[in-house]
Amino acid sequence: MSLDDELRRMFQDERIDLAPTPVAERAIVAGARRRRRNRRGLAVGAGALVAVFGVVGGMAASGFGHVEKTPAAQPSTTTAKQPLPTVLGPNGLGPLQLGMTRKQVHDTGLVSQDVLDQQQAAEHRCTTHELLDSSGASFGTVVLSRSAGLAEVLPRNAPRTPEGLRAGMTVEQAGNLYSELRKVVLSAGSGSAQTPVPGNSRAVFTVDFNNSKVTAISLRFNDNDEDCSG
Amino acid sequence: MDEDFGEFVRAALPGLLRYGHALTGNPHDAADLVQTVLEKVGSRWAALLRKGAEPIAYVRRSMANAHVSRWRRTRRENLVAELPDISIHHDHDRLEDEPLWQALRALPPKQRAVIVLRYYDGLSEAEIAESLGVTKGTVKSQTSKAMASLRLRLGNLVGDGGDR
Repeated sequence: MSLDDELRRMFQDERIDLAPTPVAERAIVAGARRRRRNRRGLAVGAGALVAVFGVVGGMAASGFGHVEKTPAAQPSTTTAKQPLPTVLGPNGLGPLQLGMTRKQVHDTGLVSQDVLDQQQAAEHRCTTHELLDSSGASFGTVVLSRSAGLAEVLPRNAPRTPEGLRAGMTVEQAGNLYSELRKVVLSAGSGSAQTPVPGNSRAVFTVDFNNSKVTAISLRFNDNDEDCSG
Repeated sequence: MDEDFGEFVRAALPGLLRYGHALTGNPHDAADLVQTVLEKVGSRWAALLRKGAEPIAYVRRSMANAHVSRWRRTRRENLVAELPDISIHHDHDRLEDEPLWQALRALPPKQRAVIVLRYYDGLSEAEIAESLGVTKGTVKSQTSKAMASLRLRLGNLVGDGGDR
């Protein structure tokens, strides 16, 4: 028998079968949900990716039982921090403006050079980086697209939009500001929805809800590749 | 969205675990690979469906890529050890004792991926190149290296086109 035939036979062998455990589906769906939330910059439940990315900062290390990889001490209150921009939109966050070149973005001093997701960088035309405050602590992420420049900003410092949307609002309150957000479909209190950005026809806000409240807001180009979400 | 993805996972999991087993050569790495890739895919599920991607094909391609790249880089995904093992290993009669299975396990990840894509998936050289994001030349050279080292390990257990 030739090696080709042997290989075909080998890969048809039923002993390669593995049976899923009863909890597999639930574990995977929960893991996907956790990744989705983390990508949106949600602090609660961010334990897993904190460990992956070695991000430290004012985030609650939460209950997934993961060990923090780089538990650098936060600077104490004696360090005078530069205030962070608090309004997200319509064109950016403080000095960070959508469409900026990579160099312009790094020149603001607010964005780390390090690439967070190597696999994304290898497979897609974009890279994700941390937003850093003046003490070097992370306060969110940005996505730099190779074609569009700064394509998404996801701050974690609870910014407001110019229209007044902020973390903690209910779906109804959010919907009063942006009617599109009324369409959010919540599953066990979690979901996310997009709304056009007044004053910037190229951008959308993506708003995450958890426990039926707004927990994260990102500003992104509306034609940004989904695989290039921060 | 979660419900829809859950359905997909339930239906696709046995096939994906089998595929992961073929790719990695052991049940634990197979479960890790499947779980990591499915979680990533699930976190972008709505976008994937919007783009009209065929989920199973997409997941399998991602698994082959992740398998090749995960050993190349420092293991960024160091959570896997803490995640629940999602598969039960059916220990029939010792797949591990099969000489060909052992020889496959000894191949470097890229060579093994090329072999799996070719003989498990039945893909052409061009399709393998596209799946792994490499040139056809690379597929050719990896395949020929893999076949040579399989032949070397298996010795006279397999025919070689009649030169024995």
